[in-house]
Amino acid sequence: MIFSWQPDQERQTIIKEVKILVVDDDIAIKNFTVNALTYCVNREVISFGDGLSAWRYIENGGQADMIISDVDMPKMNGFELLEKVRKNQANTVFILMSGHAENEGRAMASNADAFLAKPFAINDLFNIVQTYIVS
Amino acid sequence: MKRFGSDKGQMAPAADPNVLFRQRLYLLVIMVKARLKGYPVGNHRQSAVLENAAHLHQACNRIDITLPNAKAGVHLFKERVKLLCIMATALISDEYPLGVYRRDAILENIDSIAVAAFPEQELLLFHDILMAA
Repeated sequence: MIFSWQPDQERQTIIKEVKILVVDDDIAIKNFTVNALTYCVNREVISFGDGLSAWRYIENGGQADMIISDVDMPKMNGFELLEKVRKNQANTVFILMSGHAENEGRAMASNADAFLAKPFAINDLFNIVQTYIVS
Repeated sequence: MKRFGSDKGQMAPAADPNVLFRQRLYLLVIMVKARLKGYPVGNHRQSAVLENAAHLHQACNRIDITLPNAKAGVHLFKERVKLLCIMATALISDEYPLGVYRRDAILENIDSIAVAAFPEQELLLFHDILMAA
């Protein structure tokens, strides 16, 4: 195993008080994602087990800079959540994740910012933070 | 639309406990390496490290672990992971001294774990992200 650094870059900063939501009914994946992202951004990461709970949070004034949501969930799926969030918080980065290849095309058609294919690696989460959260 | 994660042919909806275990282990290695290099910690990072270490320590007894390179045996690998969990917990708590011997022992343990679990994988430390205080 080789330990290496990213190439030298001008130091950048994480969005101040960034709010990230993770939505997944698979508890193991949800907890792992929250754990990794909490470490990444050094801030609290909020999680929900279904789309409806996440939507209730947003509907009641909860803010989110980025939402990473599974597609197939009970009560409200990821596509429905994306549609509602787009109407409410247009600037929120919305990333759909799924282990089903057919959902990738639908994610693109639904105007998701990114698609996260399961299973994913730690470096994918770091890359997502690097792309959308580091300013 | 950007794309992250596994290739199309390797996609799977359910979480494989072994894959998840190795990803958590990879995260713990990053956490420990970042701490040794002096990146900022803070309450959230401290909690994340403690949670990940506790999870892995328990998982060692729960999961039937398979390794890409198990030359030294799975039992020894599990004991090394448990040791790394203890090392990470001590390192992040800042309550215990870290001398050159402990530092070397941590790095040697990481190297042995990496050879067994991530023989082909390059560990990236994302500088800009780890600098977040």
